[in-house]
Amino acid sequence: MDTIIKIENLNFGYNNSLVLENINLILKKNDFLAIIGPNGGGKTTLLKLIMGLLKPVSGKIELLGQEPVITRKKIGYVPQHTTNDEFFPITVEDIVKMGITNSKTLKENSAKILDIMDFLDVLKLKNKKIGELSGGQKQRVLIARALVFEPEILILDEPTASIDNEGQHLIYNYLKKLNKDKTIIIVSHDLNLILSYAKQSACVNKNLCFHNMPEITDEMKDLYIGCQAGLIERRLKHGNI
Amino acid sequence: MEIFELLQYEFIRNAFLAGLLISIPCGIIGTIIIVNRMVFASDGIAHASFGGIGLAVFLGLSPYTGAAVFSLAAAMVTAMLTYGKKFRSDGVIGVIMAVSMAFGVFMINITPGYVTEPVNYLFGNILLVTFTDIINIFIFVFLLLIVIFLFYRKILAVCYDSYFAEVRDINVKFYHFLIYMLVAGGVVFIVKISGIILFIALLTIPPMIVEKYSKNLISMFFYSSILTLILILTGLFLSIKYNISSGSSIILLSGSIFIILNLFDFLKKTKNTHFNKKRVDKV
Repeated sequence: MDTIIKIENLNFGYNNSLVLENINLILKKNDFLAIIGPNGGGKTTLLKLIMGLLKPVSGKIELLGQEPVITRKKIGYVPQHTTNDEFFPITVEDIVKMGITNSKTLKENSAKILDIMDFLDVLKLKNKKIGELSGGQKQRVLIARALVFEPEILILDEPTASIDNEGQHLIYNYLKKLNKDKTIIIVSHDLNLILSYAKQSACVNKNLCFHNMPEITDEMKDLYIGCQAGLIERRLKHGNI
Repeated sequence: MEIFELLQYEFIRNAFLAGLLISIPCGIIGTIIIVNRMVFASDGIAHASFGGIGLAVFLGLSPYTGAAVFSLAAAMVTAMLTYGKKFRSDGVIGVIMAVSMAFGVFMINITPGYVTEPVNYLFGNILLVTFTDIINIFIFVFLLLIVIFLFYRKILAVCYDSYFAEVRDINVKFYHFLIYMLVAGGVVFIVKISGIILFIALLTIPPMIVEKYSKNLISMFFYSSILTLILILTGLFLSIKYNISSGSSIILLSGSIFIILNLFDFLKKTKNTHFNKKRVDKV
């Protein structure tokens, strides 16, 4: 199976203090990795490193066999909808079209763009301003934007934060469908929900605590809680995991 | 005096023509700085240019050359400080603005003789516009429209979501600096006519008024430019009719419209909330 992302002995930090330490991870084609962990644990930093927005202090990241800055165009990035200015004067259609920056390519792909908007059920909203939409609708618009250039990898940073339960299931169902031909990495706080959709999971709290566990178990829940408290590190040291 | 009578005078015709031309860059640059929340940075760049005026006056050069050099330098420094949000940029912008203005005043103080240009530069006078000024603004407007035509989609992507733009391999740093250079260009070409205070007012008030009625950046550029033109022409007419300063007349008119519209919106919202509460109480 093709390796999509390979991370070896990765360290990253600010001002001599490590935020991520000795991270190792391999993701293959069609993997669906859920990254969970406490606030400030380094989840978003890890995503930024994978996208080549930050440079590691040491270690290696390969994205499709090359450095992330070379191949990151193959990534469809979906931020949390709340990170963008909701008063920004922009329509749904303009946001989705932002995924393609070349005017010629944009014209050639106009039918495909409408198909993607239809798939995510935002076509009827295309002339609305982004600020007029609900949280779930906004997030689906951002997913549509990430899909228009047919990325091989989808990276989503807490896409279901501040969205109701029904909206969260809707988004995860779309992602499950997209996972048939795309590798997906998703950062989430909602352990129960995300793990019923993701194939793999990892807890990031400075270290990558575990991954490739396909099912939610009581042990995982304990690990997650332990990870939040920083206990996981101590447990690993004492070998009682 | 009727408006057609006024247009017989060349300085009035020049003022109206200058108003027409500066409404375009004010609408475009103003929109960009409002959606990027960089009004204070723009104000800092405009005020920092005063240091260049003082130095140029002391050295016996054209004050506008000094203003151009200082505003471009201030724009570069501000762009560097704000890129990637590494520093508390607002504090540093405040320092640059205050020190540069004080430096300008100091240089003027130690210049022998009476110096008038700096006062014109701070407050401006659209009625003193020359034909050369109009040609200069025309060139600036032409270049600005080319930049927007060529880079609109990328500027939009960078303004809306710089992380996404960077992952899509858009050179975010280049566009970040380009936006600051546009502000510096505005300072160089517009401030001579409008003065610093009117420049900032025209960059901020019209875009803030039209923002909620604009579907996208292009429509906001357009509405802001049209509103700026209306405000400049009406303000000019009122200033001549009632013999008041053109700058204050335009700013007070703009500010009044801004306050009235926002007050109207506030009252409408309050009324709706009150109405909804009553309905809920009834149910």
